[in-house]
Parts: sequence; C-alpha cells; structure tokens
Amino acid sequence: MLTFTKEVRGNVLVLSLKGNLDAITVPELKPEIDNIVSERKTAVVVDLSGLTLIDSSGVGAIVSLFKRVRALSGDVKVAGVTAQPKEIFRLLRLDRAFDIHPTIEEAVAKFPR
Amino acid sequence: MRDMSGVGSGRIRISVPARLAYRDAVGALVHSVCIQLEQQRKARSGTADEVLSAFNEAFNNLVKHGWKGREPGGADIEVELLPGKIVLRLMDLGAGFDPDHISAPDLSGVGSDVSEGGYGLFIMRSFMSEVQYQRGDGDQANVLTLVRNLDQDHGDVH
Repeated sequence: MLTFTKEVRGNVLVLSLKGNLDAITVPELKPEIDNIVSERKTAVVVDLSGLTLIDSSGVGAIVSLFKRVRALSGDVKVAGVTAQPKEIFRLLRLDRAFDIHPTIEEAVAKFPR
Repeated sequence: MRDMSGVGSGRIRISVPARLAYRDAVGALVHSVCIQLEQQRKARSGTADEVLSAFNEAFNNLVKHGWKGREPGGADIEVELLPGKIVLRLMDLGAGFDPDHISAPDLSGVGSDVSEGGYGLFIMRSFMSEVQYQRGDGDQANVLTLVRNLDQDHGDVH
C-alpha cells in the first residue's frame, strides 16, 4: 500500500511517500508525477521517511521524476531514506546520483530562495 | 511439508495465481522465515529485507515477462531451509526469461544519465548467493532458484 501527500514550502514542492513503492503501487503514483511535470514544478523534494519498501519499479518512478524535472531545468532532492529503501539506494549507487538529505528541512534549504 | 517451527530446516510450497496482487502474501512468508533466522542469530540483521527484495524482483519478473499479453497462469513458490542457507524456487509455465542474456545495469550514471530500469536482476544477484534459471519445456515448469547463504555479506555483487 502507498499513500502520498503534497505540501508547498516556499517555492519547493514536497512529495511525501508512505508505505511501499513497488510494481504494485507505482501506477498510483504515475499520474501525480505527470501532474508535477505538467505544472512545471522545478524545485521538488521527495520525502521517503515513511517509505518501508521499494523495488526496481519504484526506483524507476523516482528516477523518472528526477529526469523529467531536470529536463525543465529544475531539480529533485531526496529526504529521509532509511531501512530497506536506503539499502537499495546504496546498492544501485543512487546515493551518489541523487542529492540526499536526512530531513525535509535540510533538503528544502538546499534550494535557492 | 516438514516442520519449520524453530526455523531449523523444512520446506513450504505455495501455489498462487501469477498476479502481482499475490506477491506480498508470499513475500510476507519469506520475510517472516528470515526474521526468525535473524532472531535466532542464524542470519545477520538485514537478511530478511534483502531476501524479500530479491524475491519481489523475481516475482515481478515472473508476472511481467512470463505472462505478458496472456491470461496469467499459476506460480508455485517453494521456501526451503537447508543447513546454512535459504532457498527460494519460483516455478511457472510462463514464457520465461534467460537471466544469462540480461546485462548488468550501468550504475555510473549521474544526473540525467541515471537509468530508469534494468535493476531487477541486479538486485537479485546482489542480495542472493546464487541465481539459477532452468527453462521449462512443454509441461515442465520454468524454475528460478534463489539461494542465500546465511553467512553472506550484504550487497555482494555476483
């Protein structure tokens, strides 16, 4: 099961994911990713502190968001990766590819005001 | 089915439809067995998450590639405990795939060069000690065997 919420902090959109992001739940998130891109959000934080499990499909969804926002000359930062998702990020070297921060606040602060 | 109470040795076999909706039910069993191994200090902490990650990728592949464009059939899943190892077998009559012909993803990408896919088999191979595939023929099932040696360090790339 996946739940997600959106919150605006200044000029930054924070997308918080809770539960599992995997082959089963990614189709629920894809329309939201499409919305973020179509609304041309260029400063996005993906908060994964509530994420308990991710698989390769979930990774693909986050990478897709990252690349599409980058294509708008924006940036995506990741916050709060722990437990199994952290292990997957480490294994796939996404901890080097993404700008990852311990908390939402720290990730938001990295965007220019 | 032999007794797995106390998680010594034994084997459980489950038959489910080859649909993603059934993955988490079997995955919960796999995770539970591994958690018991961790609690009994027969496996190090983190084993359960890693074996579950590998199982999920294997089941995803079975569903997405084995039955693509066809009405899904069934899948048999075996969870077997042997001395020093846990063995998962996923068996089905789907189209199958040959993991030996799937190349490893390029993990060197940064920025817009990060790959969106191709990670599933890599996750399986990294978290398991052995990944073997035997393609079926006719009524003989495809068998994907995942072996995790309980003394394996995490995240090893094979």
